[in-house]
Amino acid sequence: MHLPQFQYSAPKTSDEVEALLAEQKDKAKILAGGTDLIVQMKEKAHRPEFIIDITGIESLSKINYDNGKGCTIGSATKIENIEKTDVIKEKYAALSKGASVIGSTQIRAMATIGGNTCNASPCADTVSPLVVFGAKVNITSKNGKRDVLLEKFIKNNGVTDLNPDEFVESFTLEEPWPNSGSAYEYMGLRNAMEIDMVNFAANIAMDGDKIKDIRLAMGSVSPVPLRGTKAEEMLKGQVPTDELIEKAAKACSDASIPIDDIRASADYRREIVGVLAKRVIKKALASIKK
Amino acid sequence: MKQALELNINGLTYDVVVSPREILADVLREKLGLIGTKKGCGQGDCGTCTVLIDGRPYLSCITLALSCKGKEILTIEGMEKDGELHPIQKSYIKNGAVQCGFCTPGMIMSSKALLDENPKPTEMEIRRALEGNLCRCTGYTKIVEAVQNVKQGGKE
Repeated sequence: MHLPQFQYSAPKTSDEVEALLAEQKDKAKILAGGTDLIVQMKEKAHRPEFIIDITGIESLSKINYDNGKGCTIGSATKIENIEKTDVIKEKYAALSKGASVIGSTQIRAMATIGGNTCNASPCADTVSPLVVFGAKVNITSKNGKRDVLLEKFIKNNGVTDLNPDEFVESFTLEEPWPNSGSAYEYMGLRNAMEIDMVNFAANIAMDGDKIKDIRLAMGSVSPVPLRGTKAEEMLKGQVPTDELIEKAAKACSDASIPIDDIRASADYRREIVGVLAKRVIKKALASIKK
Repeated sequence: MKQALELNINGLTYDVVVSPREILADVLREKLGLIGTKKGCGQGDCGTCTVLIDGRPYLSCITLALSCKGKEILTIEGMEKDGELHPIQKSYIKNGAVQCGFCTPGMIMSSKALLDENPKPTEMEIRRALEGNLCRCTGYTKIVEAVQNVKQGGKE
């Protein structure tokens, strides 16, 4: 398998990337880990004339937690760093877990959070966790900066809100809610190199024995990240009894719009949404430090 | 447009001229004669092409050669020292972890990345570290044993 011809540049600063994109626009593709892009180019799914390699830009691969203010993660941060960095494991556990199940050891060493989100596959393991942490995508171009909620940034399978002259610099996650916990699970046939058939993330904050705040997100069951809004409304302000969690899980199942494909039938996926919803909600609750 | 590129491989500096579309696996094999690194699926699934880049396991079949500028690359050829095999290589042979040998270079590089970080891994830790390397011959049991039995945690 051979790659098509293209021109390659490896800028050292974000400004240089902006300048290149202003000129090359949709003839260029950003290269980070390459674990999606290079494979897709070998399959001739993409034939960019220009490749802009951002892995040499140090400022794009930093994780910056500001106590009380939240966390900014550079778009070129390696998945294995997101998996292993202490502040993510402790404060954004669902994201660390999501990162830990991507691909294989090698893929996690090469791939980046920017790539995983901008590739916009419905099964992306960092996306559901990022959504439950209210993640914003920080976008820049020569014309200025803007930020978009990740839920709105992914518009369809493989499609994001990026304009041809823009690229993603970083993601901002809000400060974890006080008294909160998170969890992430996926269902797939294999332990590694798997495209999950359903994934589920939860972020829950408690006030006494009642749920104060909650976000639920599911993946692989819709073209875009799907919030379990009905289930969230059921659970917010309530004591999370087994019975109520069961009802909420069913609401998530009912909200999902899965398809039949080679990995699973829509029926099975709908069923598994319910299974994972229960499991993940309970896990998130159990992880809240007393 | 072809570019001159200096690659640091196994402690040596190699000068090559590459076009941007050339992948590291091909440059190693075709331009530098380092054929220890194998090509399997060509799309990052099988792990046969695994090399270490700055100590981390990378899939050389989906890595552009140009993106390796300034990095330290370690291939299977770099594992032996002064004619003596690395403890990991010795353990693979001693424990019957090599049959056809095609997955072996990639397996050994992934094993080295693991042992450099974690000299006494559990069975589950080994299986997880090697989850990106497929073997059609051995059923993995002997490979896991080989990694468990590496002397001195893999240090020479």
